[in-house]
Amino acid sequence: MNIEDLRESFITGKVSPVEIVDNLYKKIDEDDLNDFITLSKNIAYETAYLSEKRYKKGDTVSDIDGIPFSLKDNFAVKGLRMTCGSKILSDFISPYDSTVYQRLKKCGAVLIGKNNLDEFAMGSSNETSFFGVVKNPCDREYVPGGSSGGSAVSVASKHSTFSIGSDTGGSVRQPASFCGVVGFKPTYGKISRYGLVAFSSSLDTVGIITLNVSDCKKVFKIVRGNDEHDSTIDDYKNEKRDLKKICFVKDIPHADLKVTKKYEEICSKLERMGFSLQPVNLDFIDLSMAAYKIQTMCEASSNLARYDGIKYGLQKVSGNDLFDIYSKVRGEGFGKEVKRRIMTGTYLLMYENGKYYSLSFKLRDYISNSVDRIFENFDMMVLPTSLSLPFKIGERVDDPVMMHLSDSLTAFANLANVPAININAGYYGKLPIGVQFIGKRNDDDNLLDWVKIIEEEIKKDE
Amino acid sequence: MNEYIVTIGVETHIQIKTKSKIFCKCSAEFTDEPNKNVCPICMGMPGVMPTLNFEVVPLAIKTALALNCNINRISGFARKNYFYPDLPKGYQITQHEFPLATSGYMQLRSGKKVRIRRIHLEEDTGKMIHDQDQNSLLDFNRAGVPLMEIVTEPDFNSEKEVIEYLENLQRIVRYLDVSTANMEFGELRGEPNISLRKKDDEKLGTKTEIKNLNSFKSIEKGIILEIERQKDLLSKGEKIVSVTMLFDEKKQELRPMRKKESVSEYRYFPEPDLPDLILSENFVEDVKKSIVELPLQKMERFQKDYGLNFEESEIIASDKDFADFFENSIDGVKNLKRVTKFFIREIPAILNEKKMGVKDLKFNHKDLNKLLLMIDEEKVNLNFAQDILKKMSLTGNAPDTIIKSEGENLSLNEKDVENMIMEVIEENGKEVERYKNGEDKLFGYLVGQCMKKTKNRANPKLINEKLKEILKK
Repeated sequence: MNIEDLRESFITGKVSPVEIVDNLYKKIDEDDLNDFITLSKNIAYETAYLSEKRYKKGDTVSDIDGIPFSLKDNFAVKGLRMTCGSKILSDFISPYDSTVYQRLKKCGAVLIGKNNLDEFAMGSSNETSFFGVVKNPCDREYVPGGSSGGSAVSVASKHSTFSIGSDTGGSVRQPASFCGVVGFKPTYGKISRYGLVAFSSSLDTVGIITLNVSDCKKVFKIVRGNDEHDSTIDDYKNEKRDLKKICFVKDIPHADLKVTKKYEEICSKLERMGFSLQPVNLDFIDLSMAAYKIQTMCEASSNLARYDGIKYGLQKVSGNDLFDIYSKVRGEGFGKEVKRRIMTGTYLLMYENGKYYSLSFKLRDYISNSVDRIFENFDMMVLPTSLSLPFKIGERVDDPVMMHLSDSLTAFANLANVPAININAGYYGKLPIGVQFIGKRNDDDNLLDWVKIIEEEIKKDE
Repeated sequence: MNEYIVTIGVETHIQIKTKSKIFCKCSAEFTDEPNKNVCPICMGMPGVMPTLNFEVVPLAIKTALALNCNINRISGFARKNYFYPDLPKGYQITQHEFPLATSGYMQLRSGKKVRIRRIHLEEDTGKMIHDQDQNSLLDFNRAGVPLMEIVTEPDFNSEKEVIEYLENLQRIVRYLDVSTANMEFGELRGEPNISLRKKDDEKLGTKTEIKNLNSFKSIEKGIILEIERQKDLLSKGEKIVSVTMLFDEKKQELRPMRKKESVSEYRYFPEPDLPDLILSENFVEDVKKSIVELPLQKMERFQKDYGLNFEESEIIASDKDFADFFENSIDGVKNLKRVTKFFIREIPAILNEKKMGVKDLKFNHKDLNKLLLMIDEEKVNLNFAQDILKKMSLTGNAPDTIIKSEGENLSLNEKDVENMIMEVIEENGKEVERYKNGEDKLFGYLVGQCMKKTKNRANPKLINEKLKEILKK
């Protein structure tokens, strides 16, 4: 059930928040999709109980009072384990709350648990998690996408009504696409990152995964806005306006035909809805992948330096010297993909390689300017979210290049700091296909309003 | 041995005195019991973000302006990446490419201008302590305490110049109330880098850096030792290796710490979690206006206005509170020369003995002013004034109260003095007779006897007058 329907059931007394929590835990157990790393049963039952009392009295605190949700396991909740899908933090208990969690808690939402993810949000299939692969509920043989794989699965399989994920290059939109749900990445700086474990700080955004766009709007309204702990917040909103001109892309290299076919269908539908559709050229896509890789790896190498086994996390007491202890902890604690990125990032940041990092900034400016220029003439862009359908578990594990390509239609939105959202466009067999809408910087509210209309139109056909 | 030219540059870290740390709200009291003033942010817990404590900005700007620097209206933070247990995040947030201030200078007594290359903001690290049992303990109270780093060009040629620069710097930040700058607590840390070259060499030699210098004495000693070490190596034809030397305070010797980490190994890049620090011209102007008279300006003024010599002005202006106390206390005093020594010797002695500041004295400038005026008007002589000052510092009583309470026979009204003179005349009948018969020089002897009688505490001028008057009768 979506937020609105569930809230209606609470109000009418058809079902109570505590009953819902009971049902969810039963379902999570039965479905066995490995979408959760930690279940927060104590918190869930306590908040659900309090919410139930408020519903009985008729004085609920928000639209999401009593609504069950989950957090990607890279968001901090005081007293709960926060693993980031890594062995190095497998026993780490957070001593503080993330801002996002605090805001949701204040609104009476019920935390069900912490979702599985690619280790430190690095991956596109949720196969790099120390806590194992997450299965796609549409077909258990397939990956759910990543890195917010557990989040997308928990919403798709109704284990939580919404989930908070993180999107650095597509980590919310791509799994949403693979699982057939809504995944929204706002403009950088709209939702506080305080308490979100950093992967690549200049690109990381807090994303929202829901069953429909309307729910997404509700959650976004609650979690967005200024925060004394995050000085990169800019809560500016563009003025409300109508959607008129949409741009699309004619040829998408490397794209699966099943994806492009569905994409073309959606484009025709948009035209039928009366919008003007014109093609644009995204010739910066290849460059965006280079810039994305350099920036994320460099920043990750620094962001992950704090996991040294000294203050918290995996610890090794014996070693020849300090650096021996560091290498033991980090060698054992981090997985292959994380190590690959830390090493590449460290190499790229070295003085003699300084040109790469400064070049990535220039590329980023170029991409940002190119995207801005497109939005001078258009209100919105429509694009497939992923080049391919969900792939089979294990299929691409040893092919990091192909795995990295899966970000190519999503990462430029992070580089250009613009909002983007995935909604389900339909299915090929059991497998969902997503479509992505990208808006102008600070057009978050407009984008959500417009896509809500399009979503309703697509659903009519089903 | 004079064939080498010594070149020294200095990096100075100064803790900025703020209530809270630079990137979180923890108290900056780093001397509290270990790990008391820490939070997830300064402990570098996963997911935390820094936010700038703006309190540090005007304080650093003040210092930069006092050192004639340009304030950069846009500056930015960067990460300096390295691994060490006292560095919670695995990187230090500092300013690299875009420092807060650049291109300043400080003029030394010789007239030489030492150029300041840059001043930037950064966070302090925690502290690693090794106990007797070979355990390494970590205290993160200091992690995140605000620091400014002041970097000079290699413009010094001797340890004396370095010490003069650092002493001036310490005085300046204390005057500006930017830092308490106590070296023994590490609130001011000077790290000289030293190189030697032959007179006719144009290029600077390979430099080495000295760390762990906790006093001016250590800095002086460290530099001397390092110059000797380098001279020794060079004269043997050996090469200087770029190295960081550690000063051992107990053994008074240097030993190499580790090979100097090169810039590349710090992997600097802009801190994505902090926006650029953008300052308006108005703000900088506003800070400029709040800058008080600086030590050197004060010394010059004291020399000009009060006729103090260089050393006197330096002693009195060494501390701002003391200088203010001096100026308040001498209000209306005409013969300054007579009382200056109170501020050079007596009062500093009292302060030193009790290791306190001028604000902790039991008497205030108003009472001291009364005493100084009495000296000025020759109501008390200097010896007696010294005694009174001592009593003031012990009891906090006003000088007139002290004089009164010294007992009846020591009270100094005219009548008492007259009575004492009468007694002296009676006791010295012969001498009085001889004086009256024309032996003028005996007047001095009689004055002496009167002074003795009053235990040196009567005003000699008054005795003179009264004695003459009475003897005439």
